[in-house]
This record gives sequence, structure tokens and C-alpha cells, in this order.
Amino acid sequence: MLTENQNLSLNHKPGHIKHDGHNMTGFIIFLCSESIIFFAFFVGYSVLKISAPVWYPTGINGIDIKMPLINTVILVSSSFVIYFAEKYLHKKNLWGFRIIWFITMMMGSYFVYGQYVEWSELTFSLQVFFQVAQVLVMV
Amino acid sequence: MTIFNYDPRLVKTKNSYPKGPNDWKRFFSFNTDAKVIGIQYIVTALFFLLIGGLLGMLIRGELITPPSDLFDPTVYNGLYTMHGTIMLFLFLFPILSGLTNLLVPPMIGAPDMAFPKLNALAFWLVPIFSIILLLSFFVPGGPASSGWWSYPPISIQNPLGKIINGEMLWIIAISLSGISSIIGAVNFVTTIIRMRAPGMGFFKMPIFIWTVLAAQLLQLLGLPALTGGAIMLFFDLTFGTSFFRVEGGGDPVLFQHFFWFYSHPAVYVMVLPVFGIFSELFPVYSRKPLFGYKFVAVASFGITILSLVVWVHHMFYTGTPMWMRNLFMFTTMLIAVPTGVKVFAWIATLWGGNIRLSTPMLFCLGGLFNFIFGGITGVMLATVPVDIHVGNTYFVVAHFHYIIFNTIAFGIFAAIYHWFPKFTGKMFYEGLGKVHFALTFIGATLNWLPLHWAGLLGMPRRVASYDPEFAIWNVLASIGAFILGVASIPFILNMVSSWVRGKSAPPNPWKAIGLEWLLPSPPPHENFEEDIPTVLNEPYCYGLDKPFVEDEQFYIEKSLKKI
Amino acid sequence: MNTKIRRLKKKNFSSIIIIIIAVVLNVVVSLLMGYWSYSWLPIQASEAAHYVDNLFAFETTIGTFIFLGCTGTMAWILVFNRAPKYDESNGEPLEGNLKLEIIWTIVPLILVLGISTYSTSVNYKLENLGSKIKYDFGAEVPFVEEKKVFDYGPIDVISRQWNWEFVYPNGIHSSELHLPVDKRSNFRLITEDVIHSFYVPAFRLKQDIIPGSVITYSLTPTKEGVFRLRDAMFSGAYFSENQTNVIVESEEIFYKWIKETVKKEPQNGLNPAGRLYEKRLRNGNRGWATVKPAPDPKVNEVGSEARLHDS
Ligand code: HEM
Ligand SMILES: [Cu+2]
Repeated sequence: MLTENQNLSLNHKPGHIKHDGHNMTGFIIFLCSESIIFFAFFVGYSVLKISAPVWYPTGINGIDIKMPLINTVILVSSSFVIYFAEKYLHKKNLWGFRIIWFITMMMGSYFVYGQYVEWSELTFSLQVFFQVAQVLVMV
Repeated sequence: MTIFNYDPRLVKTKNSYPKGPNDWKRFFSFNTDAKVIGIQYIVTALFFLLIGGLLGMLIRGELITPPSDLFDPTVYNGLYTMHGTIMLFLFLFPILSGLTNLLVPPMIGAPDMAFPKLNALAFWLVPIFSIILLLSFFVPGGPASSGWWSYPPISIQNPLGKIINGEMLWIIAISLSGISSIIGAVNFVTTIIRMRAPGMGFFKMPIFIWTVLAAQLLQLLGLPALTGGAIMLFFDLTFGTSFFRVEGGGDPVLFQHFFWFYSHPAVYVMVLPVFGIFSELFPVYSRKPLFGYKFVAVASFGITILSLVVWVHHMFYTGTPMWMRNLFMFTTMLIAVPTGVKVFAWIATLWGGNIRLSTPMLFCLGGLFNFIFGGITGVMLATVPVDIHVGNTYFVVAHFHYIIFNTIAFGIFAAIYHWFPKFTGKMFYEGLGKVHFALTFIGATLNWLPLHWAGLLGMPRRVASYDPEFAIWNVLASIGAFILGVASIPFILNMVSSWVRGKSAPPNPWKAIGLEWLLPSPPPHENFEEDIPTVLNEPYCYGLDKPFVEDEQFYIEKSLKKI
Repeated sequence: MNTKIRRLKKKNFSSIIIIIIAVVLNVVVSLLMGYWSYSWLPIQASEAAHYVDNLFAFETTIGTFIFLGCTGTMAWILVFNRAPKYDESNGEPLEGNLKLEIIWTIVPLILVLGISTYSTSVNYKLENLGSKIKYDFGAEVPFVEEKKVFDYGPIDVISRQWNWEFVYPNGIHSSELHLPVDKRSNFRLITEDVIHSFYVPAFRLKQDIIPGSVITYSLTPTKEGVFRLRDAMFSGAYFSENQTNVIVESEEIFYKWIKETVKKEPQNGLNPAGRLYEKRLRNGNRGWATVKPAPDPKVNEVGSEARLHDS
């Protein structure tokens, strides 16, 4: 069919649009957007703090700094560690990759453990959460 | 369909060819084609329009007489909450996502969306959260019944003390809807930024694309605030935290800020694409270029920026300090300026045109007429002393229905009719379309115009019973609501019968200018496939003798399947 | 050539006439609508009312002018610019007009600037809202120091799911709100559960009542009569029953009422929601979940549900 009318498309250069390779753009857009959730949390915290007649709310004596700080340091540094793991992978150095990968996993596990400890200390406790899970499982 | 001459790079790419079946079954599968997804969205949303409309008519049935006699008041509260939620999150947002999916890739010449799989995921979340929301009718205690605002403390009172309750399911459904919208927004913005046809600079994009970009950016900036608020509300409700719970030192007004920081922009997320639809359709049916294309395009972004800083106008009487009320009154009124620019541009587009009153044009004109009205009552509501009187009364209900139904839904109907031939390949029946328009316009006007007076006289919104002096306005409104119910019949009839056995549509039945009209009806899976046109001028050059794309004739012949 | 110019001039002349007639007509109708708009609102019973009504009438006038201006133009176009059947030619290809576009950006800008300046000045005149002070919910409501002096008060307005109670400085509890006419009364707005809103349409005033905060509020009734007080912020199952009356009396009658009511024994006050809930329980407690209504308030003045209201 194309051959019949080819004179029409003689001086025509077809355009082209890339299908793939937009992941970076999409990811950056997504990150910027999601950071607003945390912005909301911070704003909420400051509003509550500024407008409260007495800070802290009754029943709370202060904020534990140490544990969250350790957790944060571990969480943040693990992203650098995993970066090196990836570098080794690119260089095809499998053992280097495995060791550093393992270290990252250990850091991650410690972080999850830390979260568990912190959440189980809260007064509203995860019991309700487990109850919900139970009901969901039953359903 | 035979494929030849494919650019080998394209054949190799993962999503260059549809995986799903190529018949009606594809509409029930995890299909990644934006056009299939668009139709999935639209049909699902129209189904929920029916459900939401049914709930609306039940509400109006209760309100046709002053006492609360049709339902127990608890039931009434659940019904109106679900009505609002379904209409916004199960009808309006999905149907606009649907139109956006259908229109964006062909209008910018792209083969598909940037992330087709995510796109399908975003759609399939809709039935999931819809089912969760509808299930809440059947949990003990009934569905959420604190209004679509879901203000604490009323929303976290949880009378039965059960962990799984209507309100909890409501929050989960809304959060899933939020996730779906964010996925959609990332996808649309990426597609528009990265996948435009050669030559299509920003000031050569169709206005619909401009408005989608503006709306989806708003979505990205605002929605996370609501998500944050919803997470905190969920914790307060389920785990007994006290972000908003007063007993533990929380602040209920804080939630209102989170809620409106998103939900005011949300109304513009819905109306901006409709502004786009108006800007597309008026030039076609008056056969003139869009008046002041650049002004109209830029005005969209003026609206985006301003609508992020006006949310306190929903909270003028919550104890907001004077300086803040005055400030937000001023910013709110400023929005009327870019909005006015658009309205005047549309009227100037009509001026001296060659007007054809086909169904889509009628819906556009009706929508514009109602929008001018709703914009004026909007400015009244922005005026603090007036809002202090009419806020939270039926005047507000009337205002936002004038926008949300009488403008947005009208625009959506216009779009459905206008692009129906393109994406189904069938022509619709004009006569039925006109009947649909007439019934819709009469019903909508009768439904919401009288309610302004009920509000001015001081009838609060969300009441299940009211003093007898408001009866007359409510009777009129209820009659209007039932007429609107009847209006759905010609619409459904038209859509179903023309899709099944309508006349085949030519590629460009309205003689419109735009990339999508250079494609066959319905367009092939990858739109322009290997031959993406190079855009030379902005669309809407009716009568200007400016070529729209390079080798236009080639594409026209191709769309007629002559090549 | 000459005739063409003459014809053009003639056309211009007649269109100017038409425009002038249309504008004059529009102005007349708009003024009429503004005048008429007063009748859409309830009786003016507080000093805020005429400010609000004037503002509303002003906006109705301008709004009508803009609405008719736009839709009238649209109607004109629909009548005179319709394409004949089968005519698919293009209209006049106008792409824009910079001067026009600048005008219709600037004029609305000036207009909304004007409206917001006007209403800001009204806001400063009214100043109904006093201060909002957070306190420990459930504890004693704190006393609020006021900078201004009021003729009467503070009256505690206590809202709950779903009844109202008013406590006067001399200890009277009442189910209806009695106020002296032409005197500035001062209130402390308090809620015992969720958000409510103190809304009296005849006063054109509305103020949300926030749990955990005490809000001071003041107003001056200007007309004697019985007016509805409606909860305007959705507050749950029996929200629409959460109404009572405001009774504005002359100073004399008001103080007589104060003196006599002190002597009355406390009894159960108005609580229509409580009655409805009892009915629901009797009928098998059908319907969706609700919290229980608060018990009947104990008041010296019960008032009457059957009282006719002026607005
Ligand atoms: C000139 C433009 C507009 C202005 C100045 C304006 C102003 C306002 C104001 C001040 C309110 C708050 C009333 C109150 O709650 O007391 C309001 C409510 C509302 N407006 Fe508009 N508006 C405008 C246009 C729009 C548009 C374009 C939309 C939708 C796309 C819209 C949708 C709504 C909705 C949904 C509400 C009520 C929300 C609720 O209370 O449930 N408005 N508007
Ligand atoms: Cu708003």
C-alpha cells in the first residue's frame, strides 16, 4: 500500500519520540511531591507545639533523642554503603559486592529492630495494630 | 492491522505493542494502552455517577419535606457523606483522569504515556478503593457519616468502638485514591514534559495540555498534605493518638488546614481540565482561533499558583484571626482575575464566529453560562462579612454545585460527545444528545438555583430536617434533582446504542485542528506509530491559512487509510 | 470608496447606539437586583446585619452587571452569528487584541481590590470575634481578660451534642438565649464535645466553637423579637435538631426576666434530640451508629420549642 502513494511522503522526515528512559524525570517529580507529606508532619508538629498551653502534652516528659539519632545515622549512611556495593557490582567484583551488600542488610535489620523497640514503647502500643491484622486475616 | 516499516528501535522497546487481547475483553484486563485505560476510567466513573446520583436523589427525597421522615437522621448523614465522596473521588477524579489519558498522548503526538504499567496500576486502584468504600455500607454502625470533610472530632468519635468501622474504611479508600492520583500525576507531567512531538514547544501546546499540566502540578503539590492529614486522622481514630484529639492536647483545627490546603486546590484540579475543554471546543464550533492563546495558557498557571494560597477562605468563621481573614480574602479574590481572563477570552472567541449548536457546543455554552454565575457567587463567598452569614449554609452548596456539576460535569459531557467519534470510531445521535442537554440544563438549574435563597435565609447545610419556611426552595430543588435523574436515560441510550451500531466516524468529523484529528478513528495502538508529525504552529488557526504540521496532507490521507 | 466609509460610519453609529442602550439597560436591571437583594435576606436584627446586607447588595449589583454583560453578549452571538446549515466556513480569524486583554486583566483587578478594601473596613467595624484561648479540655474553662468593656456579660454559651445551654453572670441557666436590645453583649463560646457553630441568621453572624478552646464573642442586637439560633457546623446524628431561640427584649423586660428567673427551681431544659433518641430506642434502635445525646440540661428557664420565630 505504501508504495502506491509514496510520492506524498517523499519530502517527509518522520519524527520520533522516545518511549523509555523517563524514569529519572518521573522519579524526581515523585520525590519532590512526597517530601510534602513530611513537610505536613513537621508543620503539624510545630503548630501543636507553638499553640499548646503547656508543652509537652500531659503524660509525656520529653523527647528521646539518642535512639532516633542512632537510627537515623544508620539509615542515612546505609544509602552510601549500598552505593559502593553497586559500584563493585558494576566492576564485576562479586565478592566486594556481597560483603558490602551484607553490611547494608545488617544496617537495615538494625534499623527495623530499632523501630520495633521505639514503637513498642509508645502508650497506644501496637496491640491495636495486631488486632486489626488479626481481623483482616480472618476476613 | 499490518505493521510494516517499523523503526527497529521501536520494535525492540518493551511496550511497543499491546499485550492484552484486541477485542472487548481488553477493557477488563490489565491493559497498558492509555486509550484502553482512558475508556476504563470513563466507564467506571460514569457507573459511579449513577450510584452517586441515586444517593443524591435519596437525599433530595428526604429534603422534599421539612421533617426528617424518610430516613433516620444517622442514615441521612451516611448517605450525604457517601454521595459527596462518591461524586468527587469515584466520579470526577476518575473521569478526568480518563479524559486526560485518552487525550494527552494523541494531542501531543506521543505513542502512549511515559509509564504505561504505572498507568494501568493507577486505574486498577480505582475499583479496589471503590469496593472498599462501598463495603463500608455493610460494616456494623454504617458508613462514614461526618461529611466529605471528615472533620475531627466528629469523625473520630467511633460510637461503637469497633476497630473496623465506616470511617476507617473511608480513610483507607481516600488514601488509596490519593496514591492513584499521585501515580497518575507523575505520569501525566512526565509525559507532557518529555514526550511532545517535534516542534511542539510549550507555546504550541493545545490549551487542554496546558491545563492538564497546571492541574497535575497542583495535585503533586497539594495532595501529599491531605495524605499526611489522613494518616494522622487514621492514627487518631484507630490507635488513639492525639494529633487532632482534644483530650490528649491535639488541635482539631489543624486538620482543617491540612484538609483545605489540598481540597481547595482539588477543586481547581477538577476545573482546570474543563477550562481546557472549553478552550478546545469553542474555537472548533465557532470556527475561529482561540482569542489570546498566550494569555489563556499563562492564566492556567496563575490559577495554579494562587490556588495554593487561598485555603483559609473555608475557615473564615473557625476563629481565624482578623489579619489572616483579610489576607486570604484578598488572595481568593485575586483568583477571579486569571479566571476572568479565560472567560472573556472564550466570549471573544465566540464573537463574530460561525456558531454551530451541536451537542458538545451546547454543553460548553451551558457550562460557561453556569460558570460565570458560580464565579460571581464565589466572589461573594470570598467576602468575609458575607461569608460569615452564608458560609456553611445552602448558599455554599448551591455555589459549589454550580461549579462542580453545572460547569465541570457539563464540560465533561461536552468532551465525551466531542471526542466520542474519535475514540470509539462511531458517531453519536445528535437528537438524543440535544434531549440530554435540555433535560440536564433544566434539571440542574431547578436543582441548584433555588438553593441560593434557602442559604441566604439561613438554612444550614447537612441538615436532615429544617424549619418550614425553607420548604418552597427545597421542593423546587428536589424536582430538579429528579429531572436530572431522568436526563441520564437519553445519555446512556445514546452512548450504548451509538457505540454498538452507530454510523462509522470519519477521522475528523468536526473539521477540527489538532494532532488527534490527524489520526484515524479510532486511532491505532501507538497513535502516529513511526511517523510523528512535526508541529509548525499552535492549534486553533481556523481561517488563518497557517499550516498546522509539516506535510499535513500526508497525515490526512494516512488517517483516511489511503496510504 | 466614499460610500464604503459612509456605510462603515453608519454601521459604527448604530452599533454604538445598541451598545449604549444595552449598557443602560444592564445598569438599570443591576441596580434593581441590588435593591431587591435586601428582600432575600432575613430580618436585620443586629448591628452587623446592615453592613452585611449593604455589602451583599453591592456585590449583587456588580455581579448582575457582569453576569448580564457576559451572557447578554453570548445571547447576541447565538442569535446573530449562527452558522447556516451546511455552512462550514471559518469566522473572522481574530487571534487576540493586546489592548483588550490588558483591559480585562486590569479592570477586574481593580474591582476585586475595591471589594476587598471595602469588606476589610467592614471587618474592622464589626470586630465580633474576641480572643481564642486554648485550655486543658475537660478542666475548668479559664476566665478571659477582655480589653474592651461590654454592656452585658459574659454569657457562657455551652454547646453539646445536641443541645444549647446559656449561663448568665448571676448564675441563671437557660435553654433559650435572652438578650437586651441595643446593648453589646459578650459571650464565652464553649463546647463539651465536638465542633459546633453559633449561627443566628437574623444577626448575620456565625462563629465556630472549637473543643479545647474558649472563644470570646460579642454582638449588639438591634431589634426585639424571637430569632432562630442554629448549629451550623455538622455535629453528628441529630445535628439538625440542635437549634434554639434567641429572644431579644427591651432592657427593662430583660432585667426583669433575670431577676425573676434566678428564683426558679432548675428543671430539665429543651433537648429535642434526646426525645428523638428515646423514640429511636423504643422503635428497636434501628439506623446507623450514633453517640448518645447529652442528658437534658438543668436550667432555670426552660423556654418553649413551640415558640414562633420572626426569622
Ligand atoms: C472566582 C472563583 C471562586 C471563588 C472566589 C470561590 C470562593 C469560594 C469560597 C470563599 C468558598 C467557601 C465558602 C464556605 O465554605 O463558606 C467556596 C466554596 C467552594 N468552592 Fe468556590 N470559589 C470560586 C470558584 C470555584 C471553583 C472554580 C470551584 C471548583 C472547581 C469551586 C468549588 C468550591 C467548592 C467545592 C466549595 C465548597 C467546599 C465545601 O464546603 O464542601 N469554587 N468557594
Ligand atoms: Cu476554596
